[in-house]
Amino acid sequence: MVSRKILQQSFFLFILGLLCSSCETEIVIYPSERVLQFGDDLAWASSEFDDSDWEQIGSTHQTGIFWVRFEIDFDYRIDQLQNKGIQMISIASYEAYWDGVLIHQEGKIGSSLAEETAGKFISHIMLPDSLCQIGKHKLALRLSNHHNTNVKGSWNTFFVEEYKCAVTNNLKLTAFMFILAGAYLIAAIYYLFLFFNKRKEYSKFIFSLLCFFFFGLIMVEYSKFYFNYPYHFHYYRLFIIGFLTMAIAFTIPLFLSVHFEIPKRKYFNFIYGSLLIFVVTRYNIIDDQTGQFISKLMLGASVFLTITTLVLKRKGSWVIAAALISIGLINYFFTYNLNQLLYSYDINLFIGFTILVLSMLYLMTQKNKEQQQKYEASLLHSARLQNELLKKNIQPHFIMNTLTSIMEWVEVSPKKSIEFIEALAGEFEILNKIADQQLIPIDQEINLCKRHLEIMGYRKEVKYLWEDGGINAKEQIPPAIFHTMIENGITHNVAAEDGKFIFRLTFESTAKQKIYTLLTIAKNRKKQSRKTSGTGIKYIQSRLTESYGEGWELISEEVEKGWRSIVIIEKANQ
Amino acid sequence: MKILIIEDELMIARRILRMTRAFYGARLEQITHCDALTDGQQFLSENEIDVLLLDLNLNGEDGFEVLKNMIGYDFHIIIISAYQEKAITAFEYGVLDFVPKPFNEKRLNQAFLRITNKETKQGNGLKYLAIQKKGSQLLLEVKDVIYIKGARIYTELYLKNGTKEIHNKSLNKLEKLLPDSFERIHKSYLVDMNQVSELRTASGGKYSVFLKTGDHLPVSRTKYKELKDRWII
Repeated sequence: MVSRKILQQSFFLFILGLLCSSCETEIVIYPSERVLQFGDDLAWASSEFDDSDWEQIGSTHQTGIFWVRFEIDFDYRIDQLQNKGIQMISIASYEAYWDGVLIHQEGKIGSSLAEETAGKFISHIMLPDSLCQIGKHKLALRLSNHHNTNVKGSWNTFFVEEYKCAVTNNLKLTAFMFILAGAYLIAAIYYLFLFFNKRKEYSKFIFSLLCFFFFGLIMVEYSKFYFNYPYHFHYYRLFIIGFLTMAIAFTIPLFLSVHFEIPKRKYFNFIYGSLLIFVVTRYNIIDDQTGQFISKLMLGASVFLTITTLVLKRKGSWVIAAALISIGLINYFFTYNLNQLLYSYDINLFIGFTILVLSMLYLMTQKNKEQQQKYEASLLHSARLQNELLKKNIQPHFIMNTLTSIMEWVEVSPKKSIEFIEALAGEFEILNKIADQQLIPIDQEINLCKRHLEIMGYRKEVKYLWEDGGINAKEQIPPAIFHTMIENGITHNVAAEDGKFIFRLTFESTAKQKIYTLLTIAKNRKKQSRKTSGTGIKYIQSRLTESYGEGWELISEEVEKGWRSIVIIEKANQ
Repeated sequence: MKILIIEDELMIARRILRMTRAFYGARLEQITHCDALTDGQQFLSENEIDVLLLDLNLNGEDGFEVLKNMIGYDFHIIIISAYQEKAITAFEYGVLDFVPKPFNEKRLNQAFLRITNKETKQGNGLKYLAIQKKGSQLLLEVKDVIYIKGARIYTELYLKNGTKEIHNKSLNKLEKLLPDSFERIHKSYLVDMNQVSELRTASGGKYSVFLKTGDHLPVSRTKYKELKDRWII
């Protein structure tokens, strides 16, 4: 526990230097000796009392009234402090005797839980100048710790510095860290909203959760300066910190595995999660060492996942790799280049986590950009398809041949030419109506096909017949799919032996699929090289992809009766 | 006049038939309509014709593949097609005319007139000539041809590289298709004037042209004056 205190002090000393506060004097004086004795005797307050037979321990696991005596040595530096102040951290209620004089009471000492009033975890005590001569001094604490139920025991630690600084430095540090916490909170809320917009993007939810955990961690870590809590809450707080650290250690690799879509990630996360739970149940979650070990596990898991993403050549894997490398470098830099004492789990934790979170943020924005581009490309694609459909009206092969036929009918049989022109107008009307739709009712498509067959009948003097069965008029389909198919059918076939040329459309709906079958009952032209990827087929494929993504299938095959085309649409899309 | 129509739209075929009959009247010996390429090729393997009226977009086939099939014969080709932008390329392969759809009687007759009129300066940008080699068809480039000699039912193409190839179209027909730089200097010779170095008169009223290669070809008397006026040699 001593190391943790020193670490935290070192950390805010570091920040202190960075912040160039008005507390230029960095004079901090620590006690040199500490002894402990259970029992109660006011004589133990005196500075002359001989405590050489007391135990030299820093904490106790027993509950009751006990005394702790510190020796502290003031040198010339003490005179440089304007107001001498003690910052005391205590897991017990206490009375403080400085050189035998009672200078502070924290809570109320009691011989039972009911009698005792819990004092605060941190206290600031001002020392009168008269008691601060250069030389050795004794601080004796009379303590009771009935409220402490944790197996970790009770301990005390203090130092002497400029009173004002002792108070304000903590708050300065807290303010700084709360800014960081605010950033995490905003990020958490933002990504939570983004997730609600698109429920399927779990990586956004995980990231939001991670930011909430970070926010919570900073708040719990640094709120001790803000809300000075009664001493026994300390271990509850440490428990929450440990829990949040574990949650973060689990969530970061979880995010990486989901964002980069690592295969078999469910197994990995389950094993890793179980490992974490094992570690925290086996070792005390409150301990610093447990926290450090968990962080190392997390780093290891992240490195493993990053290597996997690099191998799989996932987009953006270099970002995480760079983040981990810089965390490693910072780790190294802080550990070996600065004073060993400054090696702080805290510094590395927050800097490292922040680097990771920033790189994850970058990855998310890149993915966003990608999705935006895909969306815009699909809009452009839809516009092109619409254009293609409209152009069907004026494709030379269709319109020029039709007009030439009309000319002939006009000159040979004017009455029939009127009928022909009316049929043509009918097809134009429908084509124009459906061109900018992505899905149209099936009966409109059938009308279009019938019009087209009528026109082709006038042109080729062949009676094209249309039959359909099992059609559900409410069903929707992308426009001009069957129209394109019957165009192809007319081009590639001639009337059957009995002179008939029939198009038959049937519809079937299973639990998972919708199936349309277009049967061309005619004779296939000889030696035809069936183009499997002509512009007609491309149009059909584009339209199906536009509305159904990848959940469709198109089958085209020669059959005994003629030709069969089958359109299968997966129902999951709707 | 023997005519074949290859057109897959019945009404349009009827239109062509009607108008062709009206134009040729009694001069029309035979007129046949096929609605597919295969039928047309079958017919051509057994019959001779003078003119082919061809649609480029037959039943979804690639029109130029169809056209390439047809240019190796000794008949004129008139394209009747919905795709006007293909005209230039069609002329490169050697069609007499390109009638865009929809067409009226006047336009179709204009195409027929090209067959019989004396006008040879049509300059339609012919680029390729089809020859038969080892059982399959090859396309030669017109720019490689120096001169062409008529030889009964076929013609001989004399090329820059010194070789000689056989072509099925008659000189009369070729005259209507070749670029303006080709002149019919003689009953039996068509020459690319860019390859001519000199126009010479010999004693006894014989005229000839000397080619850059050193060869010389005879020039008919009637043609001589025309050539002298038109070409500065």
